[in-house]
Amino acid sequence: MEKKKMEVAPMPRKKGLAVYFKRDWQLYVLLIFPIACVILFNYMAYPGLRMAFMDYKPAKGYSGSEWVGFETFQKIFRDKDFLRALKNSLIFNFLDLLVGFPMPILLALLLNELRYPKFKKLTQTILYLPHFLSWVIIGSVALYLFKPSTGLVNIWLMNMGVIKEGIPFLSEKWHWAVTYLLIYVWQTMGWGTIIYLAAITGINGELYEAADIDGANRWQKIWSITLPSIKGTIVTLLIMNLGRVMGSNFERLDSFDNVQVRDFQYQLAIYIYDKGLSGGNYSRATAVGLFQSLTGLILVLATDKFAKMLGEDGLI
Amino acid sequence: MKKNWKKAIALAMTSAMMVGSLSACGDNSTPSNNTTAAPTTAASSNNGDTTPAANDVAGIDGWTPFAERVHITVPVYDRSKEGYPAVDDNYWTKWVQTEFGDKYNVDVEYVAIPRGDVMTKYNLLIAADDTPTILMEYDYPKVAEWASNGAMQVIDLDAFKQVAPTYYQKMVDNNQLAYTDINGQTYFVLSERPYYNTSYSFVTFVRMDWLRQVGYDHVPGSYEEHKDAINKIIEAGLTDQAPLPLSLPTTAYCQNFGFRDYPVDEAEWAMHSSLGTPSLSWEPTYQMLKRQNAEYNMGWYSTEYELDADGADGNTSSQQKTDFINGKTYQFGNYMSANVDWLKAFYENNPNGELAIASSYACVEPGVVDFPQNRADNPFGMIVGFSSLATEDQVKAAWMYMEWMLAGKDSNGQDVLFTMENGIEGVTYTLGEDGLPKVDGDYRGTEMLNHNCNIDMTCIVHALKVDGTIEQSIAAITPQGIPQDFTQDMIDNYYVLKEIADAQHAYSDPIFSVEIKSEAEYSSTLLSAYQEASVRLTKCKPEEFDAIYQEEAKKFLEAGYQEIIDERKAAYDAGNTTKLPWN
Repeated sequence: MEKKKMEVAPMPRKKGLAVYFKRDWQLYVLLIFPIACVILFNYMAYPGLRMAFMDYKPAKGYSGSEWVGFETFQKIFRDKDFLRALKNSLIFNFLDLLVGFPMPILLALLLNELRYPKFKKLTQTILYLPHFLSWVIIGSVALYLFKPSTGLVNIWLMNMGVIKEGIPFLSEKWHWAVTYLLIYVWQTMGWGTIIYLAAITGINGELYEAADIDGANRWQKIWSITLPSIKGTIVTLLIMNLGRVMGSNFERLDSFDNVQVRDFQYQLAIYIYDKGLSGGNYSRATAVGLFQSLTGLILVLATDKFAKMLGEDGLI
Repeated sequence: MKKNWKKAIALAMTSAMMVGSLSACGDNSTPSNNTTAAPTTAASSNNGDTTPAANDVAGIDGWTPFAERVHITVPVYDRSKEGYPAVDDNYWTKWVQTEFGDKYNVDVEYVAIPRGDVMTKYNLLIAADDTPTILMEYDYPKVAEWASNGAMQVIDLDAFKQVAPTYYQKMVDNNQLAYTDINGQTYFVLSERPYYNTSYSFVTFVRMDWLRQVGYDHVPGSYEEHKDAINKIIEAGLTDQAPLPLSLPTTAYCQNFGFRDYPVDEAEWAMHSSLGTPSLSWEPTYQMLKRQNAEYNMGWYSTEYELDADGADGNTSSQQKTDFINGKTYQFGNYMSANVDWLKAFYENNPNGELAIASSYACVEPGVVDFPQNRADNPFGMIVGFSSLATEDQVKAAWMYMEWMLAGKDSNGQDVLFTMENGIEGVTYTLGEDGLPKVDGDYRGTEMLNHNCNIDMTCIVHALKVDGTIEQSIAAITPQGIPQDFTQDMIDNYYVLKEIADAQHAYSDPIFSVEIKSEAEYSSTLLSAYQEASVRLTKCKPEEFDAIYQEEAKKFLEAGYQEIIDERKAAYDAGNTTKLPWN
């Protein structure tokens, strides 16, 4: 007995994959489907990237198309339109981030402070609704609301005597830029609150009770408890959003297309469609897409590293 | 036990999802428009008389059904018109299958091609190895691009003549054989375009009641009168918005024929006259835009016209149509048929409205436009080629389909083309006293004809429905069911257009027998650049026009237009283009 008491508990042995698989095989089977989807839709297309290095003609296929190396990339980087599209994409994506990223956080904090549950739910539902409208619908509605002389908003403002001439919300590039950004914020901010609200729900209620006892007001509780508690979520979403800085949403841009604002509206998605897909120039479209993806990846990795340097968990 | 069931269900569902997803990973190397039983020449030959070409008798009489089912895909324009059935699945597509497909053991599948985005759709089909058996377009540069890129196969016109002698003979009669080749090889056959140099079926109407109110008893016959009338309409406040329609140009066509020198220099014509790329930097385009700028500054056009860029039907925007129907604008034009919905709607909304056909001379201004000059269409309709993926039997089936539509008889002994364009007697049309069909454009039953008497199906044999003489043909497309009868006016209008054409003041754009590669590269970008430039030039102050024009023209040339005109000029110098009729 004595001897037995002296025995040290054995170190848990490392279990092989087979053990885990035998125990949780149902879960692994369920995992097959999403993994297959990822392989199918994300990796199976990779061989197609060679198009960027070829003068690809669909009818001739890969074997019949000429291999041109980096010629397509050289052409693209010499193209003034590409540089214009790249500049616009970067500027507007940063502006989207600057204006659009904090809004869901603020909104989530505000929603969290609402005390009357029915009003809170109604507000949330109304805020989520724009997410379910496609950009085509939003673009069409915006056109009829914001036309310079026949748009409802301008007619209303003119009838109220606020303005004498219609504001060119969509037909002058600076006004367009503001309208474009604000409509984006309106469309996305409600839906964006979901993750933050979920994170807020996970905060230990005792922290607020303690703060109440200490006499903290609402603002102090937000600043000292809520925000620090969701900091990790904010950083994760920021990293993910930075990956999209090189992205470009064709549907959104096309819905707000207008010849008067091409100086700003001409972004990478439009470039890819105009000079790539619509002309059957798939090599160019692929090359620009590859450039976007690689730059996006670099940005995500850099931001992740930066976040870790600041003591956050990061994404990877 | 219950647990085991759950496991089994989870496993089964996951397997089903996997199989469903991975089914998309199948080998796509076999074109989907292959024959269902992959017939080969050898297989056909084994059956002796089963393929059309195996029979010595040319044309329909020599045809026998294919031994194995053959599948062909045929493109059809989708104009997204309200109130019409799906273009690729309707009574008439089924009728073709019954009358032609089943008879010759051919599956005829129609593929909808959005009218406003033809090239994108075709490019996607080609990229996906789903190239339709038949590829066809009205514009030569597009088909030239497909042929040069390997999407079309080289054809043997003698073999075509054996299978489709009537179709071939039409091409001979219309002097079209010169257009069948590109880069020295034969790729195309061409459909007929009757009266190609008059475009009488496109008619522009003006508000005669407004003209009367401002002191005119006739439509303006010169630019001076036109300008006077429009300015008086504005002064009289007959409309609370800009009286003339204008929208963002959505095609490359610059209406600058009237502004060209006559006779136009042939080299210049070869370099600039095109539907493929707008001709910014060419003098006639400068003159055209300068006049448009002056008109804009007189308040003729909406200040937000560029927001209206909906040219989905290929001609005019829906906003222009709406404005005209609502009695807000002076004129509107479009193609005519027995049933013109916007004319009916116009009279419903404007019961006292009176319309007249605009004069071709309303643009004439001595020193600027000395006489009207018109763009004659190409001397052919559809340029038809055949997929490089199509088998020999598929190509033959496609040729049979074309010949059958032109010269075949249906099961009632009626001409196929007549039935497809008029429908069923007593249902979609009635025979008039002159023995010609009167199509009921309001009929909305199952057998209703699609857009413009099924023109997007019959365009493979001709670009325009023709009934008897030109007068009878015009009568057949004169709008019915409206308070005014325009039959005689439309006939008169035709003769005015004919007079212009007979004086050789209507001529086509050049057609190149080699691909203009830079055009394929830059045309899309240049259209976009032209849109920006034309709006800027239209809306600027008249005194700023010349400086802005110089700036925009320079940008335009640098953006690729210079390369295009250089390549066109080289092709012209090498003799690879058509000539002007008077040379």
